[in-house]
Amino acid sequence: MFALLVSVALVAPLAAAPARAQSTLSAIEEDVERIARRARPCVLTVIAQRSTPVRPGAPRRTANRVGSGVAVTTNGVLTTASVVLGAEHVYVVTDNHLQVEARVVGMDPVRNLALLRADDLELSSLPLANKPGGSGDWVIAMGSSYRASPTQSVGTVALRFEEPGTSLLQLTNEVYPGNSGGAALNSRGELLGLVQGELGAPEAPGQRERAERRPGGMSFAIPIDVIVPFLDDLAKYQRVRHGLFGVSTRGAFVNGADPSDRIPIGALVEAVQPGGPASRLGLKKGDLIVAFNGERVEYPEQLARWVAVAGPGATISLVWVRDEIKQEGRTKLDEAPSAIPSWMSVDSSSSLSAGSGPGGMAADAPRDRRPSRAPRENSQLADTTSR
Amino acid sequence: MNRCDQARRLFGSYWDDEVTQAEREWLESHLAACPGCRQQYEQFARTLETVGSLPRTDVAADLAERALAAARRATTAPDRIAVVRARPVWIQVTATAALLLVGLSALLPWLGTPAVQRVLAGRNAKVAEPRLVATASRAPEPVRLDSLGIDHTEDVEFILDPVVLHRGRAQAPSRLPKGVQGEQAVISF
Repeated sequence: MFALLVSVALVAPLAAAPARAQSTLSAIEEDVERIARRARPCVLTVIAQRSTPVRPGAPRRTANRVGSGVAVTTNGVLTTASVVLGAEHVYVVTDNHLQVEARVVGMDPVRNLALLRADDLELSSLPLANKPGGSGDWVIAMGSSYRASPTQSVGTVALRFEEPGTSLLQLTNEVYPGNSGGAALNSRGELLGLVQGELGAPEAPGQRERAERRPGGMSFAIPIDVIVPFLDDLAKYQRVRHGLFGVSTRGAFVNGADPSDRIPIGALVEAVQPGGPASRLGLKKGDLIVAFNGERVEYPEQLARWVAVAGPGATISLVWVRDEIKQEGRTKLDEAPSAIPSWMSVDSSSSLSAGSGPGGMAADAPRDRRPSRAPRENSQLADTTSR
Repeated sequence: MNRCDQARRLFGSYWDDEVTQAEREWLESHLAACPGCRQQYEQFARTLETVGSLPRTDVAADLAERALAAARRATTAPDRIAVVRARPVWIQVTATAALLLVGLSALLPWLGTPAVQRVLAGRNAKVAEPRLVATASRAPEPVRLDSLGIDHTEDVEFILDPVVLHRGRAQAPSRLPKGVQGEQAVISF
């Protein structure tokens, strides 16, 4: 009898199915449309304004950076740090053309995330996906582009780049200028990640970016499992917490077969902060750090980023070379004094030019030294020049 | 039915002598009056006499079976859809209604679970449009968005971070000022 009931329960919905004569393709389109319609009020345009540095005799001009944002609470908007870094005023514009000023609650240039608060708005929030996206997952990318017009594309997660404590999704979605901070939704309409950008051509240091945008088709998103620790930090501590190792390093290279080919081999210790984790571990000037938590270190920037995202209190394992002998050790990280690490380049020229903002992932050549800055000095960051 | 047709139907029974007295008298009078039927009956009778005079032979035991099988193969299969359609409609209607009822009662306890309610709510939920809330703060100073969109000067930049792929890693490209040698830089963390 039970078997009969079960079979009947299974058959009953099937009996109704042929009534909806619909092709698979139009069913997919309808599903995408339904998800997009639900998510559209949660996707916003973010405008970050600042005055350009005053030159003697020149009129003061306002520079605008336009990106996208995603409502994650009734007045909390998630966007990328690259959009709002250095801004004096931040505005959010909704799909139904409401515009209010927002303030930056917290910013993490290492993970390339920022949380805004728009007190004058009541927003519908997007649910967060409860499992990280993996290769093959379908993705609907939504954002805002020129004239705050909505953009949308369907693609899949191509692959996941894993690094200690952080990761990045490579998508097959098309993304458009202004999409940084936009939503990457899964097939259930949940936030799978935050659109970061698209594949750019590797350019020589100091060279200006090309004016024309190349055809895309390969984009990147910061996955939800990187976003959640950032939101948790803000909820629990009201600030972004980064790890501190207490060391100064420079890049180390060996020459390849071609003399112009310089192969990075790790981070060479220049100085150790007394009493810091590096000093407790016994590191000295001249040591070459080659691995962090089982991952090979090529550039000092990688190590700096992994230390930052590991967070204060995290136990890390390190491998370094001294006098051609391999050394290993484990230690706990301290807390960095500022949410914006001193090693991130945030000078006025670069913070307002696309691509030079803080990326979520590593810069592959070292930058020059920057003074340490407190997180509340964002507006001053804008006026800092570094050349 | 005319009389000739009626008469020809009786030929077989008349030959076998399986007709009633009235039928016999009626047929014999008709055959006497109708030359067409008479000729037909003579042909019929001659055929049966010829067949009956043929020598009898023994056939294979499975002949009948094989013949029937061949006959079945030769005839086209009956249209089963037509057969189904021929059934009274009320059986289908009642059966479907019963199936739905039983299926629904089986689903009912499951329909009450929060997960399902959430899915159903998510499907049908109409997402509220963003709206302004009255706060004590001053009215926000409007930015002319139209001018932002149309006026693509260097003062308006639409952000899309570039990412480069290098040595199996995805990285934001570095943009050092001219003259700065990467390996000379020292970073602290």
